[in-house]
Amino acid sequence: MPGMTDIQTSQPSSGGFGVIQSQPDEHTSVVALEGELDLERAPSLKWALVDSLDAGFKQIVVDLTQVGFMDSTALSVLVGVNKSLDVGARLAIVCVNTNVLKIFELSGMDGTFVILPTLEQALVHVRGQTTRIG
Amino acid sequence: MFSARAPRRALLAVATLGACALIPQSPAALAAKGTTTNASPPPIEIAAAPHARRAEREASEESAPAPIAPPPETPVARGRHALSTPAPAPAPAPISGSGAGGRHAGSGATAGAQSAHGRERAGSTHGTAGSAGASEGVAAAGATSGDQATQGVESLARQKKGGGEKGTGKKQKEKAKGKGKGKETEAESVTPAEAESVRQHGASGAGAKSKSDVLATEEQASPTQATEVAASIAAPLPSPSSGTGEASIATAPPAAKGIAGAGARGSRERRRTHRAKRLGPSGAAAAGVLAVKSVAPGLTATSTGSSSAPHAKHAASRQPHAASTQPALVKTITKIVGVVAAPVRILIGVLIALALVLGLRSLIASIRTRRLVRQRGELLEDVGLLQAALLPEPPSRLGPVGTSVAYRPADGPGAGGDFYDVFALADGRLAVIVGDVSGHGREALPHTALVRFTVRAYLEAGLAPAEALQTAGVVLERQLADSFATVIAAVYHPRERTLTYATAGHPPPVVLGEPTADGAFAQAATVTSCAPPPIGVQGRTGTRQTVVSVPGAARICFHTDGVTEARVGAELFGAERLARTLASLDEDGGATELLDGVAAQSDARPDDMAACVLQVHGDVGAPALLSERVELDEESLRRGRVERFLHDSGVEPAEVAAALDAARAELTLTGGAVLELRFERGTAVASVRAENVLSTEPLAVAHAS
Repeated sequence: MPGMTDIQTSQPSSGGFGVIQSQPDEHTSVVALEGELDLERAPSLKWALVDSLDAGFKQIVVDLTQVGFMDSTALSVLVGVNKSLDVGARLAIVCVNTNVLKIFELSGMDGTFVILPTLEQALVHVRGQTTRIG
Repeated sequence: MFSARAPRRALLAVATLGACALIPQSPAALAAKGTTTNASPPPIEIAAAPHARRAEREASEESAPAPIAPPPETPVARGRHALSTPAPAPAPAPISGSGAGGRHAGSGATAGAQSAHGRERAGSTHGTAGSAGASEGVAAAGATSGDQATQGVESLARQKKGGGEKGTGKKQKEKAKGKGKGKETEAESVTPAEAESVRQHGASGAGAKSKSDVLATEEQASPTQATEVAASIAAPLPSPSSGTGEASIATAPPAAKGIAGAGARGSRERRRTHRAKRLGPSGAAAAGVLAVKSVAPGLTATSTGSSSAPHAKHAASRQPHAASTQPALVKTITKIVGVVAAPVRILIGVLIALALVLGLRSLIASIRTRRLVRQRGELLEDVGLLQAALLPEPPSRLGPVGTSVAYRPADGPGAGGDFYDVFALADGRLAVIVGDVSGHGREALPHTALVRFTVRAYLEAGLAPAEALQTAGVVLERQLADSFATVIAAVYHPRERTLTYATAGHPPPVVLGEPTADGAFAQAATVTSCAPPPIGVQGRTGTRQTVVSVPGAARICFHTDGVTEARVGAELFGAERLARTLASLDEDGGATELLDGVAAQSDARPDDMAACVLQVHGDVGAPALLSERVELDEESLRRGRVERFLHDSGVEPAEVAAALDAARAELTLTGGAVLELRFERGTAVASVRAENVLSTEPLAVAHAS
């Protein structure tokens, strides 16, 4: 909930998958994932994002730094969430893994999503602190 | 209920036992009234038995589904006095009391014996009413054939137990003999019998009439078969009752009257065969089969549907035995019951009632379950039909190109959102659409059709692949609501031997040439950067179009991401493995073999897989990239996507820089810029044009500007 800075963590599953949600400030929610984002794990990502949106957060960061694998199911989740963002809400993705970046590129979503290499850059973006051309 | 059957059977067993406790009242009552008991002289029993049984069976069939309650018994007792007395009320009533009785008999041998015996005792044959009821009952009997067949078996078993002169073989011979005879006569006198039955049924009602009409016609259809069988059996055996039997055959319904006749046995057998014939082809055939079987050493009379035939067949044989064994059984039970106190009897009665109620409930539940299972099967079938409509089977050749498509859904019911289409355009061109709507099953299906037919319409209207996707993207954005679709649209020109395609968030096709001398396959390059997004993600798509030249023979594979995302261990199947699998197909290998190959190499396929393979015929010649056309925008430039694209396409670094500069300038100047690449002699030449970008804004706005 906005105003609370406690961290909600879900236990990593046996496959080493984990979802860690944190709120650096009252408007921002960071959903960090760990492990493989496949058909089974994609729903966890979805619920974490949906929870953040329902809680009223307008600035969402999806941190995929610790994710080594992602397929189109998780991609669909991100696309769906991105589509349902309210006006004024922003979504940014942190990703450096080439395999995962390839998935974004193949789907053409690298032109739609804001994908940045570090969490700091992503936070700057969702907070509207980047100046954009045009 | 965990298993509806087991408790029901148990309940029925309890019910029959309880009924046994009540039934013995009847003989006692009868004795009190001075009526002849079960121990009446066999001849009368025999005479009354078949006829009585038939009438009774039908009567009890038609009475309410009361188990083995006395009601059927009492009128039975009364009927015994006057064989010609019209059947009491229960007889004409519809419903399948006999079915119930038969069922009970199925589960409780003693009960079956009781009711059968009771029916025999009833000897209710009544004049027209009885016969009419009989004919109705015959049809009804067919319905509960299984149970009655069981009865027949049980009576046979009792026979065996009883032993006696009615030895198995002898009896069977007699029966077969009589039956065979009856059938032969039957065939000859079908018409009169038919007329009789029609008359008969007229008395009882329209339903029965129609049944008998049908049966009568069926009779004529099948007599040959049954007759042959019966004849073959009856041939070597003399027929003692032929003389008397003949007369009664001609009037089957009034067989009742035949009972009083001397040729009781013969008439009984005639009736038996007549009834068998009435049951129609199956019945007749069954009767024939049964006749054969009766001759056979084994007593296996349960196999056919016309249980009344075995039932009647064993009637005579059963009679004397039943007469001797049943009383013993009844006496034993009577003794046991006699010891039981009255309150306990009441308790038993209550338990029986309770058991019946529960049994009825479980029966209803199982009926409901069966219906639901059937409905589910129908629904799944409908989904399958819908899916088939979305995944059509194109002709195997479209012009000079061989086509094949294949689809493998992910595990689980229903469609998964994949779709494809292959069709001919004007001038001999061939169009291919392959796509994947997000989501699965019911939510994806309607969108699947929408996207497929929209893109198809635009291609057929003459739009280039990229234009078709861009227009579809704008038009379908709102309708796709929460979902989106990845699509590839492609057109093959056979005369120019070029493949033009555009993607929207979808993997590009694999274009393989024929293998060279060293076994290597030439493959047209694909550049994945600067790919347009899927339809329905609030962005412009259809912003890039690729042309590949196909000078020689080649295989072109379109697919959905379920193929390349199949899992091989910890990895994804990938485009490289797909190319190798495509290369490994033989001459007539197509999409199905391709997906089979993918399935064989992968451990898991979490998503649907769809593939379309084109076989282009020709000589030697490697497919190669011919041109690229990309619509530029500020964002793509800023993010470096255009630069990556230029590099990946093989443009020299100096040219890349020049192109980017030109692009920026053009965008700033006119707001729109198009990057074109031409691939000639192994090099890529880039040029930027300020071409009017296709506008899909509403026409009013376009005019205004």
